[in-house]
Amino acid sequence: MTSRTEAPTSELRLELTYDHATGRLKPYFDGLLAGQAIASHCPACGKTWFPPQAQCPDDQTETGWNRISGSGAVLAVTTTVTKLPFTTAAETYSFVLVAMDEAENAVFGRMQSPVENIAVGTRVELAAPVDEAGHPAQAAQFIVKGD
Amino acid sequence: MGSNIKNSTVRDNRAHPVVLGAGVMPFNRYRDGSHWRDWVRRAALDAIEDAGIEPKDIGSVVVASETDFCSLQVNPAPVILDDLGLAGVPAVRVEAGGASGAAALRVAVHQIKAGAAKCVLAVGFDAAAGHLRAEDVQLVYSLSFDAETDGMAGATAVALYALSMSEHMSIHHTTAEQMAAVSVKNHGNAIGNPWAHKPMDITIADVLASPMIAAPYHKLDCSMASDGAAAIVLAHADYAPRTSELRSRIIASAAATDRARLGDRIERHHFAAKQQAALAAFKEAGITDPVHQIDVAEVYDAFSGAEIQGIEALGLAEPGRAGPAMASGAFDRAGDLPVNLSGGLIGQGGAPGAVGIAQAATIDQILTGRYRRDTTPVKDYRLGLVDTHGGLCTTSFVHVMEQVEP
Repeated sequence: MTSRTEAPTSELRLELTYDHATGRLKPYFDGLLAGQAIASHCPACGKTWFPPQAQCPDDQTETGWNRISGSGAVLAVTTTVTKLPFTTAAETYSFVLVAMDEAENAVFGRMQSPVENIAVGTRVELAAPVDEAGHPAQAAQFIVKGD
Repeated sequence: MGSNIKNSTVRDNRAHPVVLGAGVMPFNRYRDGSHWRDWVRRAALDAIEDAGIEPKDIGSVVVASETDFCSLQVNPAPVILDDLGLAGVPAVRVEAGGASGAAALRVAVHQIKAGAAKCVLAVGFDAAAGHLRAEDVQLVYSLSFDAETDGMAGATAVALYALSMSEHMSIHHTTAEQMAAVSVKNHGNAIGNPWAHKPMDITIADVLASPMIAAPYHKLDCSMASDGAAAIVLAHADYAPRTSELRSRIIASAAATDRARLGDRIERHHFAAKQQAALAAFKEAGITDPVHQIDVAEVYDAFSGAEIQGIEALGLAEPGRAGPAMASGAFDRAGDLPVNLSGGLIGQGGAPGAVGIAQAATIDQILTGRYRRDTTPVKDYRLGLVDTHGGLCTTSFVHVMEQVEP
């Protein structure tokens, strides 16, 4: 039943255009687009979260914003070929989880260019995005520190 | 079962719903002109026939599907009811990513236990393979993680599972060969399974030689998107037709959630929600030693390593021990605890809305001695586990099923 035959199908194309808001994450995304790390900061316990948390997961206090250094260490890395959402062509990307120095959590992003043999623990820093982003989240781009 | 059951009220919250019957539209990539409504209708009518009831006996319907982007049908329950001649019956649609089918099963269990209905049809489906381009399906599914921060940034299922598993490998020294053993087992178990999308007789070397998709995952470590549908009929025990045959019942239904973003988790290699749901399910079922009490399990294996992570989170192996046990055959068809006799998502396939229900249908048939008698080891399976999750084990459901003698 898997062969493509002269079955009665219709080729449909669904095109949706969104005026997509960033909401409360606007400072975070504005920071990424500028190559800066804008994190949420809990005024009660002093913990910092990047990506941000609206409410502190530890004490449920509403957080504020704080700029952090943008430096961190790689926790995990994988390289794959994919088409980023709302872009046009598949490329090879090295995706990383990075623990920012001041943050309690880790951020998903990508190395600015594919890398081989990057090690867990490699020091990286957030960089200003170099390619056109399909969404501001795609500006979470890192380079090896010192490059 | 009489036709008056819809209007009666059940107040026995201790009753465990009985499985009356199930039906599955085989997982595949349908390019034959059939529509998902055809698949749902077939699965549902097969389930009703297997249950030995009439459609009019259905007092409630729970529909599961992951996304309307695939089906092009918002609010699918009413059209499904129309196709089954059941218009007027109460119906809801539930969604929990890849665990949507399990969520429907849980809602059906709760409806019966709460007395809201005595006989419930849970039906799940998705059209994820045959009529959409792979890159479009990938985009839709990437929105099942935290879409704003991760999905939009390029996080795909395979990338996130790979990041999680790479940490498991670092911490527990799990090997690519152990992961490949999952693929060999599940593709092999699917051979002869009429519901299976991808039965294959392969070796560990074949898996390791297949193209690398996202390290550590090779192509043959990955499940695939499937089309398909599955349905199951549950009833309150007091209203189930009398039978001289074995039946199964659902003696526990538990759920838990984890942080949506992998980076927000303290232990990124560990499926904490699955552990939490399993502990709750075992408590509800009175299970104190799952390793020795559970006879058979269907475990959510979106990727080979996820089965290893899942077995450990479920408490069916100590942390770091599922990989070596997998390589030694402990979870094989003839092993101490057969896992995914169906082939799982890797071998049987994965239409998200249908998976959890198809898993329960498999366990039901195993517990009642009806499952693929040519290949299922002859053994008295009394207790089975159904494990399903959505996202990167962000939403987890664990059901425990028990054999019921006439």
